Amino acid sequence: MTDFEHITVSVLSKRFRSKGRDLLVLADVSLGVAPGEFVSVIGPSGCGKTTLLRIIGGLLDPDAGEIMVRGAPPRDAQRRKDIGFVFQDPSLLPWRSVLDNVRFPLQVNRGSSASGSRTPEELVETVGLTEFARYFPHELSGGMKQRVALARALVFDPALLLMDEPLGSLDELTRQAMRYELLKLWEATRQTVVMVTHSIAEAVLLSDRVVVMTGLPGRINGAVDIDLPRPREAGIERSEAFLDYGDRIQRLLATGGPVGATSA
Amino acid sequence: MAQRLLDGIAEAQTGPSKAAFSWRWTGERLLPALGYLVPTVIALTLAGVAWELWVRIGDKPVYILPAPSVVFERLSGDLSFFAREGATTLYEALAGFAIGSTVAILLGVAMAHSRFIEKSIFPLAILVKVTPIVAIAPLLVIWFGFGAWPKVLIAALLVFFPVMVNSVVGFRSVNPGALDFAHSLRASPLEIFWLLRLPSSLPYIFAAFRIVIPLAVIGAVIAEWFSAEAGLGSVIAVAHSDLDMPTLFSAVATLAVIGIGLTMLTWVIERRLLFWHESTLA
Repeated sequence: MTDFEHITVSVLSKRFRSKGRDLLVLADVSLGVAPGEFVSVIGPSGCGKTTLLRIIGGLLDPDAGEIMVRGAPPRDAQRRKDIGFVFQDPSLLPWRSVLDNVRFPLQVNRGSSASGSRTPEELVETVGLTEFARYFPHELSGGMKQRVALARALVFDPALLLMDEPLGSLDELTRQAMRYELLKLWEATRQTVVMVTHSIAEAVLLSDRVVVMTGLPGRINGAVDIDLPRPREAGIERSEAFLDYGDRIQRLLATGGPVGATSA
Repeated sequence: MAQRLLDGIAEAQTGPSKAAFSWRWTGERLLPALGYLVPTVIALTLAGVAWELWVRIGDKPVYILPAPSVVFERLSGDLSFFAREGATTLYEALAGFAIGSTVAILLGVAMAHSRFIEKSIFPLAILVKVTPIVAIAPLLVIWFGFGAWPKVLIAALLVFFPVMVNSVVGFRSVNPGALDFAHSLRASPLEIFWLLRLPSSLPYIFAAFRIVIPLAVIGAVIAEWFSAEAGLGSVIAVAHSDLDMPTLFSAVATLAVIGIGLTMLTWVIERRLLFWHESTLA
């Protein structure tokens, strides 16, 4: 990790009030992410991982604590187009073609000077969908839709890519293939990434560091640095070191309260 | 009948389509459409023949039930008359539809953005909806005279409520992920409206259009009934008092043609605009 931190989250708390109940979702969460680092956040269902990601991305405000993204609060980072979001649901616009979905961010805040280094056409090519550029979402498979969502998030070359279970809505086979695609894509660009996931294998394969959270209220129970060499190749899941990292994460999850849906 | 016909064409349309790019009546589409048209035509013909026989054999007087041949004779013998009266009704219905849905959609935009506005307008809208049109039609004639205005307004009143309710739901039914994504780029409310809310609302608004377009015609006819020198509603009212059944039936047939035409037109526009929506894809 370098001394200059890209994202700093300090003693963050968030509570939700609904139907008279007051639910503490995140308690004293602190986290630093270095430029170019791939960090995964893993934890039991409903532990506030997604809430943490939304707060970092400026979609939610914390009740206490501070977040800085490249030295500014998330709202300013949004304005600078520093943040690219990928959600579990691809959330494409069904009335737009693949290419027009990727162009969507450019049609927002036309006044701003932000622009990316790659054109939408190039991004569509990067995610391997050039042949499908004129197709509409309903004509695509789940994996293809999620690749469009990824291309859309990369339009402004965001300093920070936030992914909320990006492969969570895919079937197991597509999911395994997409893991490696994501790995290859990321190893080519080395964008700073924070990814929320339920899958230990996915976290170990992709990340430089895996942050493990506890059940409610979500706290950080520990982190595991993944020192596997890059570029990581297919088959690495069967290596001794990989399995060992998986075990360590599993143990951290086990000490952190009830484990919900964790798929290895 | 019209619905069956439409379903038939809808069936014919869904094939191995490439959605947006296809609007061709190729043979493979035309044939299934004909497959639905032919039974419809046969059924209609049989019903007409049965009706004709029923009148002739039973020797029904023409002021009770005219034979289809008599109605057809009346209609074809004075086609320009029925076309002119029909055009008046059509014009009133379309103007009412345009005014009613424009107001409804504009209010829908405001209501979708503010619960306060929604709560203030909704009770008034319900008041408009539950008031029987027949009760206020004479009143509107007193206020607006015997011209086209009271007819247009009554058609607009009937159109208003369904379009308003559906547009409020439509403007709110944006995919939450797409909305989050737009927020993460700091999209302005105006951009969110044009890029997300408006397109998302179209399936809902068109569902309302399908309901209200026949209502607009009904509204215009009812209003003409009360107070008109022109339009199919007044033709029906006059024919009714004269017991001139061939004219009355001819006017009804003209109305049916207008209704089917408008419904099909809506359907064609909807298919083109909403090629991406489940209702069109299914």
